[in-house]
Amino acid sequence: MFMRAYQNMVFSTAARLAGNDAQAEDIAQEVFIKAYENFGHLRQSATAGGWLKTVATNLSLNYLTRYRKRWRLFSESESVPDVPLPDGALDSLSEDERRAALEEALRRLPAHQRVPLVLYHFEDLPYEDIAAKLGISLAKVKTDIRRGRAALAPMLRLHGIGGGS
Amino acid sequence: MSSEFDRDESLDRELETRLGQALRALPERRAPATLESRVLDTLAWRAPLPWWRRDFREWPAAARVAFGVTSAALIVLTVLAAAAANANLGSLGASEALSTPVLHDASVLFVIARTLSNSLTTILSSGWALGCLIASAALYAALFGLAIAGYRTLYLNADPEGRP
Repeated sequence: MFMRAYQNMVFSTAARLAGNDAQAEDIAQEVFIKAYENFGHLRQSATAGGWLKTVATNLSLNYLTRYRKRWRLFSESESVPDVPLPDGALDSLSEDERRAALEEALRRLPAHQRVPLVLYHFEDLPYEDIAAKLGISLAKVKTDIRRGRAALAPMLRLHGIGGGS
Repeated sequence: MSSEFDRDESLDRELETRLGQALRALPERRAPATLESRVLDTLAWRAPLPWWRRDFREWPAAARVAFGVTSAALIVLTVLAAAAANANLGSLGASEALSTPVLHDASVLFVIARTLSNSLTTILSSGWALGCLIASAALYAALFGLAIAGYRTLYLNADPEGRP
């Protein structure tokens, strides 16, 4: 029951940070095992959701840090892949399809842009905390987030909020 | 120059706001159906066994000492009881003083068993018979050890999810 109440939130947090569903499932599994170990006080806690979200975020960042070299996670030279948007087809998408397209565009961002962007917009962390968590400079955090937003800007048009300006 | 910078700043803020709204409006991703069973399987796998079901080396020290003392006491008692019964029933059977048929038959059987054991002792006192017995015991122990190693490797250490 406890797990069913939170599993989507935990999985979403891990999936958006890790950018990979299989790894997100591994991370979510580890989160709930830690929750089981602390179930005594989590069961009665009103902040269980926040605790789970924090653990999911930290484990996802640990995971990304572990594979930083392999992924060249925070490499400045990593290029931003284009997210092609076929002009004619976009207007006919349903609301669910538009959301799925934005989710997919977020997933396709390079990790060094996606991770700070997710921490900023989903976890409400300030730039300074993101820089401290990722161990990078404040200027780089701002630059990566700005570039990430620029890459996603065309997607806003899908949501009818005029990102092209 | 300054107005252009201000315009860029304004556009950045607008993009931040609008993208933030769009991202926060995204629904939560649905967790895979396998997640719950994976967690439960892992928890079951990690659950600690009670001490009496673990390896003897992992038993509490007091339990190991108590087990050793109890086992030794039982062995001593068994040997003493067997010796006493052997002496009493043997002498009764030999004297033919038993009037009850059941006790008489039991005493006869015991005399036969004692005779057999004496014969075995005589045989085992020779070197080759003792060597054969030791070799058989060693082979049996090796087979038993091999079975334990196989059980631990193939069953106890197997991943519950079947991953290598």
